[in-house]
Amino acid sequence: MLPFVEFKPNRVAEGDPFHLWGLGLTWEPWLLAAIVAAALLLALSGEGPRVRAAKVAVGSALFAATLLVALRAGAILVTEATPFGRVGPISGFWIAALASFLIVEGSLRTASWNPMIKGAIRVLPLAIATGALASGALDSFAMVQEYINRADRFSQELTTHLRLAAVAVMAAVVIGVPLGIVAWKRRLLERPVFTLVNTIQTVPSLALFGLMIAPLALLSRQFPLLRAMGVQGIGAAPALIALTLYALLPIVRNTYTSLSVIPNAVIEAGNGMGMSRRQLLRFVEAPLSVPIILSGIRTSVVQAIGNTTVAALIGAGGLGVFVFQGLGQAAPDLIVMGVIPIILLAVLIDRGMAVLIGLVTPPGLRKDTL
Amino acid sequence: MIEFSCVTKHYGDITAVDSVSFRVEDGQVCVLIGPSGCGKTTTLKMVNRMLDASSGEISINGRNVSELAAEQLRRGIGYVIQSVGLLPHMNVRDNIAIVQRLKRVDRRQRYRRADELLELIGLDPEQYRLKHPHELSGGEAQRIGVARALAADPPILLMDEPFGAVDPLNREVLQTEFLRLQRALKKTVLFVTHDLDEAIRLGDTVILMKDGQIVQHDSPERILAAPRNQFVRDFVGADRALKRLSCFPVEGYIREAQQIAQQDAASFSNGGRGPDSVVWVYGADRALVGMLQRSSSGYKVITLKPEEVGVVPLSSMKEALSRLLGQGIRAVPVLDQRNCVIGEVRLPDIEELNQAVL
Amino acid sequence: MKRLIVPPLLFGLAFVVLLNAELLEPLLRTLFPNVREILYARIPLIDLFREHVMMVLVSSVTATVIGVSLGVIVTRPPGRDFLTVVQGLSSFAQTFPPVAVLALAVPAVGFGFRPTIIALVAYSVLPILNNTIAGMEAIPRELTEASRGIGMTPLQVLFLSELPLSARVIAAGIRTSVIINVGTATIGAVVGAGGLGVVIVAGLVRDNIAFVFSGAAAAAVLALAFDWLFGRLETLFFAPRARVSR
Repeated sequence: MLPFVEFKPNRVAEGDPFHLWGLGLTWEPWLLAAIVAAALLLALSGEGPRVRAAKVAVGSALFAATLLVALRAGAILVTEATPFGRVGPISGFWIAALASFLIVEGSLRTASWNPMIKGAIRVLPLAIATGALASGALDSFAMVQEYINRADRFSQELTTHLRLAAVAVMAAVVIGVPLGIVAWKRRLLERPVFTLVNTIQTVPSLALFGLMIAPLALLSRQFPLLRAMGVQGIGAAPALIALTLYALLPIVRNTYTSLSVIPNAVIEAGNGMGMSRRQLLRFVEAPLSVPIILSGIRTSVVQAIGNTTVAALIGAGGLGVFVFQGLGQAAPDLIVMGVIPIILLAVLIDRGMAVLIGLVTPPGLRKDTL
Repeated sequence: MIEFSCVTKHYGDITAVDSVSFRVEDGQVCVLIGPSGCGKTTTLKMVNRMLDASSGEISINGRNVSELAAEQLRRGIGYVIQSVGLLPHMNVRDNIAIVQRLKRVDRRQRYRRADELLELIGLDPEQYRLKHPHELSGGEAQRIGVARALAADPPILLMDEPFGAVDPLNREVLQTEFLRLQRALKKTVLFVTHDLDEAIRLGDTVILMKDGQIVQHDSPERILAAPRNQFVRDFVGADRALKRLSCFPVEGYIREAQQIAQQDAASFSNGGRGPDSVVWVYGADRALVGMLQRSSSGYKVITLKPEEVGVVPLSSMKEALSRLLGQGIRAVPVLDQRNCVIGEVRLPDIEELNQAVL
Repeated sequence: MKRLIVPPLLFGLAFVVLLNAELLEPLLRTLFPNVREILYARIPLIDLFREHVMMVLVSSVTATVIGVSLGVIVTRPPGRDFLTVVQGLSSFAQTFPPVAVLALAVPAVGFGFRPTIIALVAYSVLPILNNTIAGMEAIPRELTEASRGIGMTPLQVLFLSELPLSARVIAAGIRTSVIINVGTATIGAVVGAGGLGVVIVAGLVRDNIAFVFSGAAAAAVLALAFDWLFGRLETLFFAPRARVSR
């Protein structure tokens, strides 16, 4: 069996790996083992709604037990004698967590349950983890310690991250939707528009950020007014421009697609019943195209969350700050502390958008976007 | 020879084919027909082991098919399906040659064979061999499908509603084509269709199935003339007399036709023939262009389109009747491939044939 | 014809200028007259370029092999049980930002070339896998049925009909992967993998615009060149149907 957690006497020291049974725990490892056995048994017992429900239950239990063991390990390993000691989950823990995710997600995907219940089951582990975090039970965890040391900075960078991504995507919507419409209406502009947004999206994010710096630095030197507004070579201005440019492609593409999928016959039928231009938009065009444009925005937001991370390299701030600090200081715990919220953000926003798109999609066109 | 003995196929609790026994003699066309879900396609697919029988035995020339490797078996049996299934990334020639490629026949020989087959099915190799399937019409694609099935010269053909997706006019043409090929090649054919006219026209024997069982296995004439029970009667329908005409090709009922060149039409005088007779008018290269009609001031030429009025020797008498009624004329011209009139079919003959049936 | 000659000439010219110190220096001098240290002297740009290309090629080839095989396995009868799960997980994992995957590779395997390759492969398998599955699932059942019916073995069905039929979609997935890899490899400099990102990062650290520009421009041109190349290959291999016999 793989080592489950490691213990470090302080931040920079090498960690000592501990196995599940080497922790001095009494019943907890056995509980975990029992759950794993149950999971294996279920894996062999075929299909069916009952098996599926059992799998979801066992998978969730596996996650809870894994977290519990890690918690107990923290309590045992970090004592009065080692005030700077910290535990970090390693391979065994991650594999157990991944397995629980696979079990739950695998059976949820094929289950035909109410989407609300599915959503609740998916959110549950997150809620448990958040609860554990809030209660202070996880304080002996290395990444949590990294967080505690930077709690103020964290919320500040989180806000920056969200603001950068949100502003960039909003700007991209304002530019991209009209651009998509123009590309559809004026056949001559279709190629140049798509060549442009495609090209931008092809350029590596770091390179695009880099290419923004020089011209902006120049501008800011030339025009004191711009400098007074905070436009400089590095920082938020080039990041926002690059992020906006980056977010364009999915929005332009989907706007264009959303127009091209509206059948001519439908428009004709609308005209035929005497709809005004505005009614046509309200009853025919918008219901058909808004979901598609929204799914373009979904792609853009998720991408923007990732690219904003990179923007930290040009001094724009955001959660990338912790990631690159961690990489710079060779501090794995700090890296993980920065990366996990980024992934959670991306995933949560993706899910949230999926739900939203599901709500605005007319029932006749609904597919499972979740 | 294909032989089924007590063949059964289960899908879970459902019995798709229920203890079916029959035999298809060499060189014969046997048509399986019945309402959808009757097990006809399942029966066909068990021959080349696209499906395996749950019990019973299927043999080809005395060899049990379950003893042969499925792929080897299939390469020796031509298989034509409704959706044709040409590979879109290969051109016509490669599609036709694919079975021989699987059999590792060398390229030059494969390609020569593909050209031969294109000629055989009446498509110009020069024009067609490098086309891709998306450039073909439905009828052309279906012919290529037949050519592919014939490529390795298999003694047996399985055809699963091959003309089902083609429009009625083209289906008629493809059926005629099939009869011509079958006359030349004498394959042993098992043919599935849901179109009774097609079954009657193409089959040497017809097997009518229902709920996985054979209801009647007979010649087309007997199915129509002597339905075994109410189900067969209903399936055949009230117009079975009319359907029976599908059994007979036109070629047995061709009468000599009177025809005249276009330039002589003006000077035509009815040489004392009866009012029933039609005079066909041919143009340059002797192809049909119209017919003479009596008017108050003698005769005038009515223009006709050969493909709309004419039949060929392998057309059915039913087809001849429908042309006759459609055009409102007393006879239909029988044409050869160049649209020259080689004779005509007359209404009284059709009536007589129809009465003989009942 | 023009589209076959002009782009390679432009890309070639761009590479020659950007990767050749003697040609690059005067260009940078005119662009950034105020910068004192104009050329990144530690490692020649051409070496970083080569490293970058190597990273992309190694990871993309590996990801293609893994992605296509996995996609083929889960669309075969024995692997079919896993299809929905694999499909779901793979599109789920695609919402992870590539840079996050790259950063997580460091705690797992340390700094350098290795974690970068691992992260690049792990991430870029996803579009290839997704597209392989999508391509396979889009093939009409009648076609595979017909292929079986004329006597193809399962392997022949795979290689003679299924893969050629889905090649276009798979190639689009590979193209996406390669472009993502060029971008992520740039960030690889931060975890010590080398590549063109090294110059950009050095420029950012030392506040040297010339460094940032030279690295960023080379990386951008590289990505565009890859994209163009794949676009060409696509039209070359997958459009012959329209060219024949017309």
